[in-house]
Amino acid sequence: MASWLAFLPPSRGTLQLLRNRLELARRGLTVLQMRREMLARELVRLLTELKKRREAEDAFARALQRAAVLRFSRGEFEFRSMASLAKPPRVEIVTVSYQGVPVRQARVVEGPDLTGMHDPEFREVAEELWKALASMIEVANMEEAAAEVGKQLVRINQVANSLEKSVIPSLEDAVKRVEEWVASRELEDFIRVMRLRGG
Amino acid sequence: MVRVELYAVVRAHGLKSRLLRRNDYEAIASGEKGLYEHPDYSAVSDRDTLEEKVEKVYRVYVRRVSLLASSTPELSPFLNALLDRLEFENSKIQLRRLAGSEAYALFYPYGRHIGPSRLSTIRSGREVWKALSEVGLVEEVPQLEEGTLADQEFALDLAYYRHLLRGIEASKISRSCKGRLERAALQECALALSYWSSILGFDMVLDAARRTGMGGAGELLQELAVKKWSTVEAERRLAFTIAKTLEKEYPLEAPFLYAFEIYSRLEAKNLERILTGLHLGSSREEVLKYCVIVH
Repeated sequence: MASWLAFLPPSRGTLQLLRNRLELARRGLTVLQMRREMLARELVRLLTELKKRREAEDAFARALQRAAVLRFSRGEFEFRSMASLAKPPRVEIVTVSYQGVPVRQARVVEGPDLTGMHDPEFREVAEELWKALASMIEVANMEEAAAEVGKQLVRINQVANSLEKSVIPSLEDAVKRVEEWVASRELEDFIRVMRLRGG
Repeated sequence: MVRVELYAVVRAHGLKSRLLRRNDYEAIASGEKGLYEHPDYSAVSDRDTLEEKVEKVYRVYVRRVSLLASSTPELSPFLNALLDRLEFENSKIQLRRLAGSEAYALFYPYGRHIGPSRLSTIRSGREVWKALSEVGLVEEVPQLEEGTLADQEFALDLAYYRHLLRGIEASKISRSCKGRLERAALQECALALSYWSSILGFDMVLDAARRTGMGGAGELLQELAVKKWSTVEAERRLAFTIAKTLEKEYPLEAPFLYAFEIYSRLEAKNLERILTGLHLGSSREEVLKYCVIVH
């Protein structure tokens, strides 16, 4: 039992207060359980999406390998100058809500401009590399979201468990104790009234 | 005149004997041997950055051809024109830099006329062309207001081959050698045109070649009938169809110098590939697959 509950003066007012608190705690627990379910579902969804990670990593490795082959087949001078024709993408960090959990995410505001690359081989490799990189950004976003949702889930679990295992049983005990006290007082009052009437 | 030409050719034969062979490339690509262990490349240190290494490799190429050009003034217009290719390549690098993100650019270490330090300060495409025109590398500044970067680079390639043909014409060599050199230059130009036809379209390239007096190369392009352009394939043709034939037909005349320049240029390109491959951690087999090894 929570220590402060043991020192509450037993009275009808205290009983009312404890009942209100118990009701609030039960409602809170229900809400948290619902939220826990929602976040767990979201986490499962994110983890399912994260299965794409291997695929994205493989595609990224393939694209890098192709770029490396292009780099040494065309030579450093040509590769450098051709690569300078690509205008880099614009990526911003924004906060996105995942079931109410704020998560920092990288958002591609503008893809790279490869129109200046007139060499079809360079452009093809650059497009493949960007596609693979965009997938990796998506995976990183999902990983970050899964981590944040997971953290939130742990916090909610802790609070729900505390309510379920400690706060609510303590309040129930206190309500029971005060109810017993109030009931015995009522019985004493009843007997006193009966005595006064019966003489 | 013949004696001077022969002197240059003999020197070129001497220089050719110093070119790297297959086993040298294999040893360098596998890391068994450092590039600095080869006398011509002793300046290349393992501590150098990739940029420094490839620059030093091209310096060796420039030094070899410059040596021949400086020792034979009668042939220098032709030999210098061969080297001037790097000046045109540097101009392309600067044009790309101006059109793109203006990032740090790596220029070939050559500048008989303009030079990388001056070229890198030029702020517009028109000024690049003007600078080339002022030093006589191009005859006239083309109308490029509506042209794309590809159009400009294509025009630079055509301008280079015209410059090479002028260099051949200005050299004091026999008529037959001149004719053969011109044909070789046109063959090489046709290889460049095959690249551009994959980007700009066959008809457009052919038309532009004819308009700019490179119709001969256009005809050779039709004979080439390249389905899919590849750098390595183009370089193989350059080595085995052009250089080898020149070497075989004219072992003691000026066309051999052109063959030697091609071998030397390909050596620089091969080493550039190997050094980049080593830098990227690529396997020996993979890197060597893209090298054009003649000897």
